[in-house]
Amino acid sequence: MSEIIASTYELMEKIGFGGGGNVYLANHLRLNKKVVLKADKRKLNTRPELLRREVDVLKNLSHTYIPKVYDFFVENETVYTVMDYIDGTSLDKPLKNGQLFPQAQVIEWAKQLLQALDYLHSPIHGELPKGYVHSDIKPANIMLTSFSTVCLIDFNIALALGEENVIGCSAGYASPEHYGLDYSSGSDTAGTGINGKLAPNGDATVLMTENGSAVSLSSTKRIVPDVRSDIYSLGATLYHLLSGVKPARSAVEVVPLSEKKFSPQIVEIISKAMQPNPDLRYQSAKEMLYDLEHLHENDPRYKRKRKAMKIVCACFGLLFAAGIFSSFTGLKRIQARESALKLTEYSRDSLARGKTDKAVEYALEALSQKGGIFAPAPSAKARLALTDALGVYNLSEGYKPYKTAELPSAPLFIALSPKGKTAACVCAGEVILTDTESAKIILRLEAENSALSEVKFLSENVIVYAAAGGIRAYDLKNNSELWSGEEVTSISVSGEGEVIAAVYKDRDYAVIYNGRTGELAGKIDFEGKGQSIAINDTFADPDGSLFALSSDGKFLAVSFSDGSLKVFDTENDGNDLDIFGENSGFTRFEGGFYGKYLAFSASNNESSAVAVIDCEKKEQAGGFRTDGLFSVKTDENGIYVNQDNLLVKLDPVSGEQTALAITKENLNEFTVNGDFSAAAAKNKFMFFDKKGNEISSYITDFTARFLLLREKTALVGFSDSPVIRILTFEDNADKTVVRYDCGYDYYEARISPDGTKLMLFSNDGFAVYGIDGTLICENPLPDGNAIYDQQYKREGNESYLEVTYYDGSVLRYDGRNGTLISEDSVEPPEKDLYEQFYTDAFLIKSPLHGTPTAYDRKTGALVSELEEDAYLTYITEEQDCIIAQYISTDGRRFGVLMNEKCEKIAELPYLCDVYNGELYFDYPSGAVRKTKIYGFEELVSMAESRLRTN
Amino acid sequence: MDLTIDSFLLYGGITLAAASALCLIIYLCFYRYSVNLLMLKLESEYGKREQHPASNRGLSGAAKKKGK
Repeated sequence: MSEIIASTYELMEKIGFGGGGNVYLANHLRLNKKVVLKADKRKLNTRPELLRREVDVLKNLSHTYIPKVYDFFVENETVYTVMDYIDGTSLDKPLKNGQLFPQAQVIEWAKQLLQALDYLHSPIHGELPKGYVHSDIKPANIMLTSFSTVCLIDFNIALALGEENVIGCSAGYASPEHYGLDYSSGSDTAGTGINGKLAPNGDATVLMTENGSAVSLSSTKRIVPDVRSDIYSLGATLYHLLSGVKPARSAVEVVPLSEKKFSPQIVEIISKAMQPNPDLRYQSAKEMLYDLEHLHENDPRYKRKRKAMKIVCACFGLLFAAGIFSSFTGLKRIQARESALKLTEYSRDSLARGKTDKAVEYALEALSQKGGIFAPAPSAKARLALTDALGVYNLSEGYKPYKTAELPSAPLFIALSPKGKTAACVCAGEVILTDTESAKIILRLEAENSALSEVKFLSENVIVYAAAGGIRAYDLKNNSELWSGEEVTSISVSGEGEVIAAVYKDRDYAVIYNGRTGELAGKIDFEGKGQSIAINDTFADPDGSLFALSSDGKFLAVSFSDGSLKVFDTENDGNDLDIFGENSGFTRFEGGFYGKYLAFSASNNESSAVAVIDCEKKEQAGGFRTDGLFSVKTDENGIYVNQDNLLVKLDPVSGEQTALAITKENLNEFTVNGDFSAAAAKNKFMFFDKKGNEISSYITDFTARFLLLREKTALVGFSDSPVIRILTFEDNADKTVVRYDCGYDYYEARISPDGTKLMLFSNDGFAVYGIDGTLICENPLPDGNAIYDQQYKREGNESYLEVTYYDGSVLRYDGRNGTLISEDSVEPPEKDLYEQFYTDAFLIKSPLHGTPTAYDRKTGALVSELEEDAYLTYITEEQDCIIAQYISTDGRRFGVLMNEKCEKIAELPYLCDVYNGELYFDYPSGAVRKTKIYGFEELVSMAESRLRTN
Repeated sequence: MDLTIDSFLLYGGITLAAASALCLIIYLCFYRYSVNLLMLKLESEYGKREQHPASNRGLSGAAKKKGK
């Protein structure tokens, strides 16, 4: 057939029927395009709006999945609608053939339909917000194109949103609202049946007219199909497409799809779309479309994986963060520990250099870490450094580092005032006066710019020095010049300062002054000779020449560059004494006067001569000549001679030598003052008591050139350093418990419980002293070689010495008076048995030979090794500390204070006893002193107070 | 002893961080692989995954402006 309609459309074939007419495929003659002509033979005057309904809906719509309407006209009493030709087949046909569609395909179609529905439901352009409800979605109204896309057709019974007249529904696909059923929440008619009959089952559209078997809607409420009804219909359509089974007509009777055959998500989506209660369905096509478009992301399997991934990532992330935090913490702690260690070393170094304030400061800084997660608790080493810097457990008497003072340059000459309160140092062209208490420079005076320039104290506050332009006496207290004279470099002062002799470099005469008035008392003619000086005397060595005045000012001893040595009588010209003539071969002279005696050493590179000359009798009192070098000094108390590592005091009359110091190293410099002497070796200086025992020593970077002792002050200077070290004498008298004869030979010292008796004992015997130093008793012990052990025991107010012999016999002697209390016999002790000590936390084993070791009492694990090269004698636990007492291999007693971890926190040199929470120290000088155990907070407080004060 | 603890914290922490990072990387690689396998399976069930879901496909530009 080729019927032409409206002169435009050539009918090609009939392709279907429905909605009251046939559907033809036609060719648009002008456009040469295939179109669909829907012919409706219903009478025009019969509900014309029904005839135009589809056109009215489609005319303004433009969507990929919705056919477009091109024309609407009437011809031959037939209403024609011209619309897009969809080349394909409706989905009901393959369904009728039993064809099932893959889930993925159905989903794709569903998305396309939902896009179309979303468009359809949304407001139409240019008009009030209202969309359209298709209201008859079913497979028959869905075209499958040749491109495998779908197209939603047949909008005959489409409703405008809000329209209430339902004019048709398809059984199985129509929502409950199509039947007037309202299952929404709160509805009174929810779940109730409709009145009247439902149209018969089948795919044919059921029309319900107003005049026919009309649907009797609920008497209580009218429910109008809306977008959710289309959702239901689409859901039902998908249900059929997937399962091949048309859903039940009644929504509440629909059997859900099997989750075994179909994806649970799809089943859930379709179930939700087909909810009887429209409130529980998707509320819009967009909503349902969203779920279909996010199937992958919402798939439970995928969700589970993602959840697991997040959990695992979180766990690994936590582990990573924990690792970072742990390493950061460890790093910070190690840095803090290293910093504390460095500060501890700085403290030790400062202490060794005599900078005690700096030592305290560094130690305090090392201990300043508060502890906590990023900073370890203050280390035992830092605490040890602090106790050493504060010297709280060093109760020995002697000179101890006090402060250091820095001069503008290295000193050329140093003098110390009689009471040691002021130091006068000759530096390049200046005399620098320094207060030894504050270590501050108090005055600077211009001096003769020569290495030979000297300064001497006439009294505590008066100096005489080689000023620029001449000798000058200066009152330090009043800051005023007393008198001045000729230019000089070397100066010698008589005992009380009444007479001053001075010479200028290698001038051939010396000048004598009245020390008090500055009046020129005379001149000593050197008969053309001069002292030995360097060509450039700025850097000359002033120690090679002798220029000394006797204490009464009567004699002046002078060495000359020609090797001669002469004693001038300042009062009687003719009474001079030539000791060495010219060309003696000696190039270096040193010495001075002790009373009427001139003691000196004359040396060259190979040998020395030492002599003591009675200047009044003009005869030699003693002397010798030997290879090697000697050094001689004198003061008002004696003559002192040093060779190599030996320092002796020489009696000028008897020639007897008393050893003042015997050292391991050769001495470069020395000085003696009363009961103490000081000596300097290479990079070291030491102090000795009157018996020649070394009481302290200090390491230095340079070799000391100047050593001075005055009363309680010691001064050490270096030719290579502008820093001078000030030491002060401490006698710790307030801590002295008892003084005794230090000549008694003993191993151990113990204090009685009441603190009034001191017992010294060894294998040979024992002695008991009263606290006033009186000897109460001194008894030998029988058969000392057979003694296994000695223990001093305290029981209440009683104390006794228990002596155990190898044969098992035990003797006990009263600690108060030494009487024998008892004599017992026990099982002979095992030889070579090591001693064991117990504290609350540790078992400490002390073998006869070997290093004592500490073990944890609970676990038996080795905690630490204690002091090497020493024999552990006692362990005492006091407060929260452990005190270990030792005897070193050279017989020296000492102790170590340890913390609860057996780490050393203080050294206790000369520790002899621990009793009643106090430490007792026994010093070689014959004094026992005691002090308490200082707590950590106490030490810190002391240090802070000290730093504030200074 | 304390130094041992601090060293343990430092080096143990570094090791833990490195090991956890490495394990995480390995796990993520494995995860990626398993997700890809799952996606292939899901694509067979649900079809191709939408990269840019279109919610308003087909509307004219004017409708888009005035539409909701």
